[in-house]
Amino acid sequence: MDEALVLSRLLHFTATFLLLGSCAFLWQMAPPELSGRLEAQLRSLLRLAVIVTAVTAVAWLMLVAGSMGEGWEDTVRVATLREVLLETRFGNVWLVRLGLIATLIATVALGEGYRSRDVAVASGLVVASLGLVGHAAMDAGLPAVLRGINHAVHLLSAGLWVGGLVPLALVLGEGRAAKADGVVATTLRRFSGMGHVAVAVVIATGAINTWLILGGWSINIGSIYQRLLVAKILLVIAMIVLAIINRYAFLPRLKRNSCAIQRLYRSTLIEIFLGLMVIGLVSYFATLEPV
Amino acid sequence: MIRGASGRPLWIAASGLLLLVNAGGAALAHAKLVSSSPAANQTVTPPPTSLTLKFSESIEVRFAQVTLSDASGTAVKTGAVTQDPDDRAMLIVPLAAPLAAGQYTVSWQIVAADGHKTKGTYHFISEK
Repeated sequence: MDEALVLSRLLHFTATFLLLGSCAFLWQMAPPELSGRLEAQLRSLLRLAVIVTAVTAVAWLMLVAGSMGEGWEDTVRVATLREVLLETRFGNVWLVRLGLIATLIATVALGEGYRSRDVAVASGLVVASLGLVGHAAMDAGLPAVLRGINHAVHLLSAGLWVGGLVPLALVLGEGRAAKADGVVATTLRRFSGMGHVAVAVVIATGAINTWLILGGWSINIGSIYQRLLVAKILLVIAMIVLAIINRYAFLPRLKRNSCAIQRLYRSTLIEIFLGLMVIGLVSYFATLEPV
Repeated sequence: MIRGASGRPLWIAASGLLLLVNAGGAALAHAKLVSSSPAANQTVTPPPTSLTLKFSESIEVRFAQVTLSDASGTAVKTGAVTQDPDDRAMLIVPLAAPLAAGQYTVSWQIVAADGHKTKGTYHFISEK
């Protein structure tokens, strides 16, 4: 059951980050002549992400019911599910989240097409509401609220960054064939502007979160949680190094050097891969005891 | 490094947040039993009329289980587990009848507000 929960978390984080980052990219970063084409390319992937978000949210709830209760039989017992939803803190948060996910489904299911802005806002709420469960938001009172907000902001900025890399890779992949034009350069500049802020916020909120959960900066290497947290931080540092190389080594050469876009494309794909590894790690170790 | 006037509010906000949420102390652990009444290994006179268990974190009372058994391992009837209205980390278990003299074992299993389950046992001796 623990493995199933880790898998649900991994798929849920991945799908919601993809929705948030991609739609924010389409809404805010891609110029109109590019966003229409990108939107069409991403449409089926984003619809799939909405389905995965909904299915994994329900699976996550059922698995928590099983772990709070007596195992697998409680994952499908209606009475237990009702008790979890109505009488536990996790369940109360999850009721709100299921409502937000219903809103997200409505933004893509109603009407012919959908507006990136609506999907970005709805998936942003779905991601932020994850900040209300877990180690960071344990207990009651003002400190817990502030911790929850910090965690929510951490998840939002991570989602904007990592999710936005997917449409970015699409733009770069297309740009390789054609000669890089002004539209691509504009998009890259805008993404990099947002990226600077997102990365800074990821670091700040991640540091605060670590401080709150571990009660300081000293790492106990005997703890699996803390070892994997260190691994996650190292992966994020690798992603940041790649992002800095992309921004300050390759991007300025885009106009003069046709190799630059090829390199940008490849290093963006590596960054996406590292991002998936980070999500995979945290999906596992955040279910463990931090000590 | 952010410098100049434009960066200052950001740093003030960040350090303010750090001060506000400063937890300090040890790493967050799963919920543990902090204290109980009767206490573990305590000999109590007169026999207790209820058990209280204080944990390190808020508890989901709906999923809390506390069972009491006597020296022969037979379960002793207790009332429903309730939560102290002022302290979500405190569980109260009323006893249906006064306890006879002897050694008792309390087995508890709880789900903390973060969704994690922990369990444990302790003993106490009841004397007339």
